[in-house]
Amino acid sequence: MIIIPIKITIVKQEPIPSRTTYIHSQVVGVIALLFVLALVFAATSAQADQTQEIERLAEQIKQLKVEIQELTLVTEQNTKGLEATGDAMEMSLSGSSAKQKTSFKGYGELHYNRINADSGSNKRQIDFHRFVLFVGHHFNDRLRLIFEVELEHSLAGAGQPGEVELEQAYVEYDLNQNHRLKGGLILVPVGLLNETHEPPTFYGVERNEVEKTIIPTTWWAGGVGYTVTTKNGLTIDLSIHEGLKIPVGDDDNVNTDARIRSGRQKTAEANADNFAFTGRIRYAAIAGLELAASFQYQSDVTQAKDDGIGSATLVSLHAAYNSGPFGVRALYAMWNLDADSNTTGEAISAQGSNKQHGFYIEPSYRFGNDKVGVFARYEKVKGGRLRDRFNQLSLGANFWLYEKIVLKFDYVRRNHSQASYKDQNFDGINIGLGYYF
Amino acid sequence: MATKFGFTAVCFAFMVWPVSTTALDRVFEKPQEFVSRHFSHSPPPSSFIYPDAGLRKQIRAILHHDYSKFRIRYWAKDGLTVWLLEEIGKELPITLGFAVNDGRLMTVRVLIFRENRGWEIKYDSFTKQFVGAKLTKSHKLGRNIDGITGATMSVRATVRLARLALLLDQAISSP
Repeated sequence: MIIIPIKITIVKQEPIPSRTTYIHSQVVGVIALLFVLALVFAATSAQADQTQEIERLAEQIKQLKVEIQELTLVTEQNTKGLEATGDAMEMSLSGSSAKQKTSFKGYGELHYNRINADSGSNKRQIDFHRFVLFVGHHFNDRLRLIFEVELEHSLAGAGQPGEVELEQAYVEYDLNQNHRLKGGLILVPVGLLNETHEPPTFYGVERNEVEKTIIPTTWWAGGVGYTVTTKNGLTIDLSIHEGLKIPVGDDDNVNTDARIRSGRQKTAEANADNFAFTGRIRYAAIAGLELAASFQYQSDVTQAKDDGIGSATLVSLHAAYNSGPFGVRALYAMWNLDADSNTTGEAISAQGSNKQHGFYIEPSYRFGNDKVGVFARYEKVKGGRLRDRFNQLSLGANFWLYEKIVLKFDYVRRNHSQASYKDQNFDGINIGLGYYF
Repeated sequence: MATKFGFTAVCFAFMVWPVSTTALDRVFEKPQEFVSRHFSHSPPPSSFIYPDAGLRKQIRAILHHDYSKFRIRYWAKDGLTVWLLEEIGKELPITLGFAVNDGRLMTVRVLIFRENRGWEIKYDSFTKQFVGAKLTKSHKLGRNIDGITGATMSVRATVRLARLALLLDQAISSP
């Protein structure tokens, strides 16, 4: 609303003039009145125009508001659409959709051995010791299938040095977040290397002798396993699986070695008269520290009664600790075989093969931005075979060319305990190239 | 006899247990809860960072591969940034939560663990080692992290993601 001030002038009444003057004054009055009326009309007309303009602007603002609301809605929808598209693309790119939950992994290691025995014999050998392919398929987030196939020594077949082996093939199911069951061909939960043995994860070209002779790594068996984890850092593994079948020969050719490693049946038409029970308790709630103890019992470790050996128990203890660049691993394992009271059993006892044990300790130090590690390892082994009784010192280094590729060098010196094997004492160097992916 | 009974019992239990196909990741903390608790349960709207060529190169140097997502979601308020990042240890992605304040790691938490080995990284004794760590000029963590025997790959994945969280925090703080 525009208010136009109108000033009305009241003409003071003068004494009556002459007629001409009177007429003149009347005309002026009329003109003045007409002028005032014109002004009022003009003002009213302008006010009406402005009101219409304001109404028109108000209508435009109203329309713009509606358009803004519509655009905001469209923008929100587009944003949601873009985010959904982004999520779908990321899911596709990362392979996290259900049909793509199959992973393909593996590891391998090439060894060069240059060994000189005190007897004068030597060994110059290059060998692709292990080539392993691993497949994991996750049916959903709680049910998975794992299997692993290994080719040892590069060439398998009749008369060839290598073997093709199925080392893992099991189904695992999470009962809940802390309880799991698995069944199939599983790794026996014992020792430091049996379950984790990718070459870049341990020192030394060859695996330590205790976890080869006393704990027959890699040790797998058909059976079932149950794992429970607790909030305070404990993990308990319980397994029932195929047992060992340690060869003892027969009456005409008695084998008194009771070699544990030879007792692995590898789930290949394995004798299942006597299963083995394995339990492990592991503590890992302190950064850098792992403590574990394993126990195994088998009621008849030869799978036959009164043939020389009955039950067997294995106890294994290990500790691993890392603090900054320093690390140390230590392991002790002991078998106690119950020798029968017969000729074979007595011969096995006489050889001392009914009690087999060993330990090692391995300090290490990493430097060079964690790309170089040096280690020393001392181990003492008393296996069933006389040749498997020795102490061994290893000194060497790992060079991680890449996080998952390692170049290894070490020097080894072995001294046998048995006089009859003294000439087989040796020293030498090993070079290895290992990887996993 | 005891052996046969025990074996039969375990096999039976294994067969009759109701095999559910319902997803059950080992969720140690829901990601949204991790985000929420760092903002007094009033989180800001999330934002995305779309790494350019330069940032992608730096990410690749840390992870040894490209990040699995082409954009990375984060939450930021009053100098605090929170990140949910994923990296494969051996087979499947591990989801970790990181809170970064003033260029230093304030919290590292394993949120979802999907692998069947290496879950020991969930323990506070491991993740607490990261608290206070900041990024060096060469994009390394400014401190040593003690590993876990048998969980090497999960430990390495956690260290890589911790470095990535700090790098991304730097990227949005000084674009």
